[in-house]
Amino acid sequence: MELFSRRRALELTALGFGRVALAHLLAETGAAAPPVYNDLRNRSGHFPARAKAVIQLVQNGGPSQMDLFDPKPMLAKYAGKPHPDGVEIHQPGNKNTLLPSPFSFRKYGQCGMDISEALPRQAEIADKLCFIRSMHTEHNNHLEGLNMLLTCKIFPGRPVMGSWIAYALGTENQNLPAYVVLRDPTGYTVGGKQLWANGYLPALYQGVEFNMSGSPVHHLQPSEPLPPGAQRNSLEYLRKLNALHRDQRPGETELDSRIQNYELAARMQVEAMDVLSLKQESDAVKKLYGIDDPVSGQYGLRCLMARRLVEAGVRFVQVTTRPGQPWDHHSDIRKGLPVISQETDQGAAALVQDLEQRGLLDSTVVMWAGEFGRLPTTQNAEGRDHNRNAFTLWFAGGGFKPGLIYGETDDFGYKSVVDRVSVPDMIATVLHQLGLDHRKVQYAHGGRLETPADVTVTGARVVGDLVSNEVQAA
Amino acid sequence: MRAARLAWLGLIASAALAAAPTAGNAPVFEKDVLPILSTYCFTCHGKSSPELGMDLRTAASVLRGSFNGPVIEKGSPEKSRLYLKVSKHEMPPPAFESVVPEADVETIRRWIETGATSEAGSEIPESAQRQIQRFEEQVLPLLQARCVACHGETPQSGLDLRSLAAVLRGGEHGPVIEEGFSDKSILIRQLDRGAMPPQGAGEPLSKAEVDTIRAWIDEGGFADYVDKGDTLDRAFTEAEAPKITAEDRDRWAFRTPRAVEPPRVKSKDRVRTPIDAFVAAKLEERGLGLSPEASKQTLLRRAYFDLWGLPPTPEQTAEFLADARPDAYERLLDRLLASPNYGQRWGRFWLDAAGYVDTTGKDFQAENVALAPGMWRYRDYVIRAFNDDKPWDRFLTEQLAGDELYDFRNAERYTPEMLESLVATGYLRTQLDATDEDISDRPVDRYEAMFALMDKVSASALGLTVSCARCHTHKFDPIPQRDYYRFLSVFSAAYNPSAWIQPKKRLLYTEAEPERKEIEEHNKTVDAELAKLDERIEEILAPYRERLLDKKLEQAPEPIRADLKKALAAPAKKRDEVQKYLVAKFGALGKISDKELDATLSKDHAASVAELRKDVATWKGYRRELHDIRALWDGPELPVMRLLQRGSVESPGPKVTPGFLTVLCGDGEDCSAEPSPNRVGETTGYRLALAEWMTNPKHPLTARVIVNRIWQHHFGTGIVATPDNFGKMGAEPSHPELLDWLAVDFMEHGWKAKRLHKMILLSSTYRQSSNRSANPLAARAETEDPDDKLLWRMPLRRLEAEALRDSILAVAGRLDTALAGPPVELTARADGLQFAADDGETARRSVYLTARRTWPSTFLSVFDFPNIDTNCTRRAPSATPLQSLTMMNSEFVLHNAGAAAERAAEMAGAAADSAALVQQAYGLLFARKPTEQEIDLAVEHMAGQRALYEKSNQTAEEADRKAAESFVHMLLSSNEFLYID
Repeated sequence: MELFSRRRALELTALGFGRVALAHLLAETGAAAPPVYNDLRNRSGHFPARAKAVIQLVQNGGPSQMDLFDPKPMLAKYAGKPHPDGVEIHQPGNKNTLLPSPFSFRKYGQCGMDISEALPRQAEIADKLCFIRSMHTEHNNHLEGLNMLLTCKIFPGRPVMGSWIAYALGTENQNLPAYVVLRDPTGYTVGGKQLWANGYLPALYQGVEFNMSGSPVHHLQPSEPLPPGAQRNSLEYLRKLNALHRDQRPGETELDSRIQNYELAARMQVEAMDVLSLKQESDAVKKLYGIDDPVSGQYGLRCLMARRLVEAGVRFVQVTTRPGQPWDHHSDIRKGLPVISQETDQGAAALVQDLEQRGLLDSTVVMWAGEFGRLPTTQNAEGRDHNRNAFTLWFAGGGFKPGLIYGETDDFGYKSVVDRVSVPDMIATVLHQLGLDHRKVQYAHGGRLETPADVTVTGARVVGDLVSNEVQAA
Repeated sequence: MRAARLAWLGLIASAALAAAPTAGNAPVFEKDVLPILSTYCFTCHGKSSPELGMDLRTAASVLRGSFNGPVIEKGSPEKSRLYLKVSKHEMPPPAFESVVPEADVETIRRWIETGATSEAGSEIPESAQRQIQRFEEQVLPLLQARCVACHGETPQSGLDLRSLAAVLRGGEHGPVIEEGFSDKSILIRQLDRGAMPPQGAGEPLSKAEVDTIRAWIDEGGFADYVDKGDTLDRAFTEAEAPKITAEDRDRWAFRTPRAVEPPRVKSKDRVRTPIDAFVAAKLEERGLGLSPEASKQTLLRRAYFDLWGLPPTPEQTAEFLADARPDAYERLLDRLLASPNYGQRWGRFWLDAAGYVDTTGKDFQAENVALAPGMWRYRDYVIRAFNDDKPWDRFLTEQLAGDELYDFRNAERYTPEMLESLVATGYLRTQLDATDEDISDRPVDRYEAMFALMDKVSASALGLTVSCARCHTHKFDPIPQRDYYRFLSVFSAAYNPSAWIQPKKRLLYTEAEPERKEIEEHNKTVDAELAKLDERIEEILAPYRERLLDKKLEQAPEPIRADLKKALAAPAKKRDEVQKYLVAKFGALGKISDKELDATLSKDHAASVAELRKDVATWKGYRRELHDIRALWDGPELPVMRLLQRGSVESPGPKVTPGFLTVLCGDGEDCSAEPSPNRVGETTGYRLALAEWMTNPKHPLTARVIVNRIWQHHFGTGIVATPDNFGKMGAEPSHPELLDWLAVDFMEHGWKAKRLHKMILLSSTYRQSSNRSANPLAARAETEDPDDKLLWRMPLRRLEAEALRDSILAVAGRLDTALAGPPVELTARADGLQFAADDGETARRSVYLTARRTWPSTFLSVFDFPNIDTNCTRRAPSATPLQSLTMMNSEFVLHNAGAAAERAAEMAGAAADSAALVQQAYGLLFARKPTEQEIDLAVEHMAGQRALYEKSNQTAEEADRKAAESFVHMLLSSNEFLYID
């Protein structure tokens, strides 16, 4: 028996704190009230959406653009010579001598994108990817860089992109979280939970970690085995208790939503387990992701799970690398970079191919990005230090132009110079593809209307050149 | 462009060759000094926005100095900061692991001594020349055509766009271009969105034209070669320091609170306290009235949770319900307020506001906790202050300036009051300060810690959000940017950005300096004795060890035995490659445990060693420990502090001296701060002056903010719903006269919280039923005031995370309510779950769990324990499926349900039936008797569960136990347990 209609259930939502402050903020500015949410129901954006889900492949450590996506012959030509302007360094052990890439490059696909031998699988699908070579960010330290990449500010405290999107759009499948994080079972990357922190948004919009083995979320299953039917009995008893309690307290909608949450939780127990089961996946699919490969299997599995979650209606999925910061090659990049490349290359490429085969790529934005790039000069023995002035990232699907190579860095790959794209621009553009005007996604905090790309400070703009659809404004 | 760069490559190479030392002659900057600086300093002091404005790339810029003034005094190396920093190896910072060789230090010394000479006409690099030329040729014509009509001779907003120098100086709001970052440059943004030129003032620039300017800014590399004229010691602009007008002051929150007579109301019979008069009057204005009084049982539970965060025990329930005296309820309140459980509950609220965490730094690793040593003493101070009902004016004063109340620096021994006041300043140490890592101990990081401090103090104690004014004068409240930096300066003798102390070095102990030295001396003596004992033990053991090692090494191949032994004997750092290899490969063979070794000793030797070890243990007992506290105290002087344009360390503006917020001072007062005459010891007294200003009864905000916060925790929402913001962006008070009356009454009666609690809890307003339908005017109330802002009923409230966890432990009979002590460790499970390590027989109250910035207890954070990025002034209770899952499935809840079920069974007695168990469980969890229907449902549920457990082959006894556990588990999970009527 349904306790109340679904529609009614969706109406029963406790409003967050934001509303109080907001009312006054608006009375002051005379603006129309942007809605304040504290629920996950599915809602539409400001204009028709080009995509409805995002998969974010976070590459911790700062992948080296000139060893992966942005070849610089000048480095070989002037190998060992100083960089003419000098470069901004971050850590000890730097020499101002140009370090050529130890990896060979080739052009791939119709688009002719240069990709190094380190990423053979991504090279094969170059025509499906939209590369931005002219990214730049603001800080040379990992944590700050990660905060920037995900929240558009270097200091902690702001909500990450996934939280903003879950806040603005809710989610299609109420039996699963709106925002799921798939991390390596052996631990966290640098930044830990800050990578999916809701900041000042209600706790509801925090990323929910799914474990890859056993129980996907904490406490999904009873802590000790119960006889068949025992939990159903208990929930039925609880429902009766709560109904008695509520009947004596008419009009308390919060009690209703809590009753409903137990039902959601019960359904989540089933669906979350299902979504992580590989039973329905064919051998060909498993092979595509390299699930059985000892090197790329773990990451491949997370990429496959990401697809399953998006297929099941999850709004935002974040996939992290193995613990630490595996793209951080301060010395011997020749040896270090291929290790993490091999771990992640196949899964990332397979994800794009698989989404496309299933007709999901069109409605899903896949994003591959680290927190910054690396320097053209030498650190320690053949390593590279952090570089906030240039890095390459790619998008696939969701209206991002396939086979586009956007922007350029300077002769040595130190600084992005042509068609520069800032992190806030990038965030604004992703939101745009989801039908959101980033300026209109608002939350009152600390006496200010906060927005995902904080346009008044960052000057963020949607980069229309990157997408095949028209840029819209709400 | 490429050719030019390559030409420059050649230049560098030849300069490097030419840079041989010119011994004998006076050193010249370009030839002798520049190569040194470029090698060691350019990382931070060479790029386009050098740290603290110290650009070391040209002789002119070196002589100009940094934002803090000159760094060179010609002829006097000993007075030149550059030389001092380098010669003491303070620069480069040790974290960079790069040390300037003594020969180079000497070169710098001689260069300064001989007059700091440079080659005439040292040139601007070609790339900068090119950029400057590009401005003249491509950018300036655009500005001249479209902008200088307004931004010319009489520049609007102080922005003159007629020359490169003027463009770089910016307007009264600060710089308009940020070299290298066109998207952050105001100039570009104004052009981009078509805001400039304004409508009607001319044709907007085309995209290509904007892109021309954009590309020039992004290329950068020119700003340092343009003489901008000195912008540092200019006067404040109108935008930075607008005059506070009468209109600005015309807001209730900026005027001293005045108490008006409580109004007369129709429902006189309901007026128990002045609170009721104010509330009823507002209700009657709208044709509404208070709800009837809640039942005695409801009031009991409400009061327990409100004051203790714990449910009443069945005995406490029985005692109160049986007390027929007319003042039974008042007596109950007195009992509750007198218990230490009160401070553990209410202290937590202030700890939220203070942003309390036990950790230091960013706390970004789940498994590794960096505890701030002794921070917990501040937590205990807060709890103690609540329990002792410390007057709030004193409480705030100690937290803001406890170190300035006593001469702790020269104390032989700290008195208890002195120590208490020092610990209290922990309030100023809880915000994120990321400078412990050398790599992030830079001016920008230091200011970030100070900004966080400002956010915390203003939101928690001042009730204003001032952070906007960090970058520009507040857009809504009359808070000039100048006021923000004046306020920041109050803290600058302690948090001095030019003489920073990293958190790990900002240490005091519970022992005064002489005592600390005494203890260290004492420990030295003890340690010497211990060393002697160790030596004597080793003397006996050495031959045995040698023999045992030889025997063990027999397992290694004969040819390498001797080498291996030698390798093992060598200190790890001194081993050569071969030795390292040997140790790595065969080292395990050489490992000898104490136990193994002891087994080989002769009887006599074994006895002597045992005797000696006993002595070691005895002596170790004589060591005295030092105990850290996290306090704040002033350094010797107030540094020069400046307004930072757009909040950036790289763009300092005019000097500021300590001061408060002008709008909160009297009309015509300047509101600058003078050192408090009441300061004691070698301290500036500015923080004490701040405390005195804040606790002055004339202060418009302090008392209002405190009483509002207390009100909020009793009613779920404050009279002002935004406790951290009484400014224009905050909520308007629902009962302004009541707020003022309470604030004045609070101050007049000694700033005592307990008295206020009692007044609130005794009021008819608080004692109303929470049931919406109980109010006789419910229908009208639901349309007139659906959100219950006017309090026509008591709101239904959810337990906070800590109260929920503590209550679960309490009904299970496992709660340890002990006061004080270091935090209870949290353990990280591999799947990220953080749980309290003391979940054994008993467990401490949640306020004592390690408070982590990023990784708090999972249970608490699922129930909305805040992320402590700065602080938290109000938690938003959420309802999520994860909470349901936690209640249904977590080990913690299940385990305690079992314990509570056993307790209920014990209370019911051995011979009792299920119904009796149900009676007891309802008493234990809900402080009431179950209805017939509830008993039937519970009995039926247990019967069903019992059958299922028996069917899965459990013994009858076990099935009974599990059935009872399941029943209590669902009571714990129910809304009745989670909500307070």
